[in-house]
Amino acid sequence: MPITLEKIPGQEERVILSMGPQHPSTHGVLRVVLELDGETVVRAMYDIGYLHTGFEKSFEDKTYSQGITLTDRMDYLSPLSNNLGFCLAVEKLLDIEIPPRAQWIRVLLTELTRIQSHLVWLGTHAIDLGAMSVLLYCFRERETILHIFEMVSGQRMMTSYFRIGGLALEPPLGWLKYVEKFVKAFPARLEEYEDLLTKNPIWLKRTVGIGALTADEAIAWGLSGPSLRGSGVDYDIRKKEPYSSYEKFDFKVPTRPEGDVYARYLVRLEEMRQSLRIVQQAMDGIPEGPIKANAPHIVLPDRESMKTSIEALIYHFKIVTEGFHPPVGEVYQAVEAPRGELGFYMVSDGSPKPFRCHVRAPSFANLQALPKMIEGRLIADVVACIGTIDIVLGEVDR
Amino acid sequence: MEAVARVGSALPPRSRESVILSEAKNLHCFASELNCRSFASRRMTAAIISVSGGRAVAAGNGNLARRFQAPHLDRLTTIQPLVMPSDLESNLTLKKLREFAPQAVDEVREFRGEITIYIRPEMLIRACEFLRDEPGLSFRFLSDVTAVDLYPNEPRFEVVYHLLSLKNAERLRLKVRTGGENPGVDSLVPVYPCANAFEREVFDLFGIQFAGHPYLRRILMPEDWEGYPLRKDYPTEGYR
Repeated sequence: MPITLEKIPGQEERVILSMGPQHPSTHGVLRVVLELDGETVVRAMYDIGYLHTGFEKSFEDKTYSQGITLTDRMDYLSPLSNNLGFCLAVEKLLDIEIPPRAQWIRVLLTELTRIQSHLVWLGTHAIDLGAMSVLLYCFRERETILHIFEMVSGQRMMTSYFRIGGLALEPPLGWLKYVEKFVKAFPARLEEYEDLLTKNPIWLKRTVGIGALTADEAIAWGLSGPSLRGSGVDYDIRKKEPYSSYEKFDFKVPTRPEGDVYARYLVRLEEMRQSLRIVQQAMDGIPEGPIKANAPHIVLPDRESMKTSIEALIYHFKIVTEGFHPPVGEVYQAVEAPRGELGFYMVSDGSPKPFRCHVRAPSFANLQALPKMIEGRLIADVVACIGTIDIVLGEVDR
Repeated sequence: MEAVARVGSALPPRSRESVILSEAKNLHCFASELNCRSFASRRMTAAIISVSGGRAVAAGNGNLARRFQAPHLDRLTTIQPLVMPSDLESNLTLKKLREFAPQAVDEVREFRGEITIYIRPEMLIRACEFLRDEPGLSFRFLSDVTAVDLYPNEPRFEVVYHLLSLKNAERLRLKVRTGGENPGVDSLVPVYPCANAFEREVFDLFGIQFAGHPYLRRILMPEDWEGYPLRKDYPTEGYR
């Protein structure tokens, strides 16, 4: 029996509308049950689980290295952020040091991930509210980023490029040329999107004052990422709890006090500019050196030494067939994913497989604020509010 | 490797040395219980041991690291690093929480600089209210609720809360233990509204009841699903 809204006794009957799970504006298989009075939403409730695949159970049955491929598939719009969160959690468990070159490349690629994820958000959010052309432009830009991902990892989307202890492989020669080309071209493109939307009267009518949350409400409902900063709370994990050398980069954390759909739109646009600054700095300062940590029992040896050194061959065999044994303990590692706080809670029992791996998915927490945003508003605003919290159902349901 | 292992939940930590001596003795018993070769010695100063997939792993400081076979056991035993009190004395949160309600804190652990406080179940809501409202701490953001199944040990479940203080950029892990028969803890929804969906998820996947939750129904699995998939006695491939 699917979730529905129960009738309140003594109240006149109202229309119950089920929006989704197959609906172009719910960004996947989200179902929202709405109780309507005319066109006004009186009560709302969301229904999820249509994409539930039991990632957390699967983690327990795979070695730590195998788990990375699962993380790509959770938030499929920002695979590298998920890779990073998972790897950092395991690395914290193992207590190993990552060489600076790997850290810099990680930062560069996760910031590109943030830009491409925000581009998908911007395009879909705009088309939901009736601005068709933005989507086409955004996907054009996103494709250039995906091309860079393909260059370094061999995959456009399911990258699995970050590995425990460093990176999967050295990026190909000349890849930075493509990054540079993108960094040069992108600011003008961003201006173009702003021209289409920021002062567009229709866009303003559809977004200003809609779905407003105060800072206290946003904190109480567990919002994180741009949704939290759109309500005026200045909290960015990259700044406050730096990981992967973020403390060495110079960037601003944009916030807006209004807390409505428009404020979150402005925050995300500014975030793209700041990410671009980080990409530029990372590109200029990539240090030379190894891309993998010096931990032979954890990191796979390179092909050359595997074929020439017996120790490397033994380690290779052990890592592939058995995995490695982290110490008994538990860690929680949070990273600032494009949607907010992505946390990995990892419990180790000393065996090569995680005893428990829980994912704190930002979309799952952010979605809770949806009924609060839309109750008392028009049904057309529901679409704006779903777009503004930027959910990915693969991550919500895991 | 500097850590002290504890077998089961029998030993109250006294002084460092006496704990280690009884550790060694306990590991000895543990090994003989498993019908496997014991390795603990009175000289060892550290040991971590874990058992999984029929194999036990033990690590000491230096040359004591060894492995041995334990064919009868295929899951974890509750052996976790203990922290010596001196490491945590300086922690402000713990100090304030102890001042507020000394009986609330059951046990404290530290690993990789992260602090875990075990709270007595009956004190959970009061402790969280205190942590949220105390101006110096201000843990106003509940970032996560989840659970760990320690089957076949008792108490079987640990409900895990991750709190975040936006003001101090500080994280804190709280844990509450609950048994395998009718597992349940108090709901945190009155303190943190966002606990709603997290607790529903834990209920859905672990079958832990949250007393006082406004809408405790399955959230990810279908309504008519039988069993709780994230429990350790639930097979990964499901029942056929």
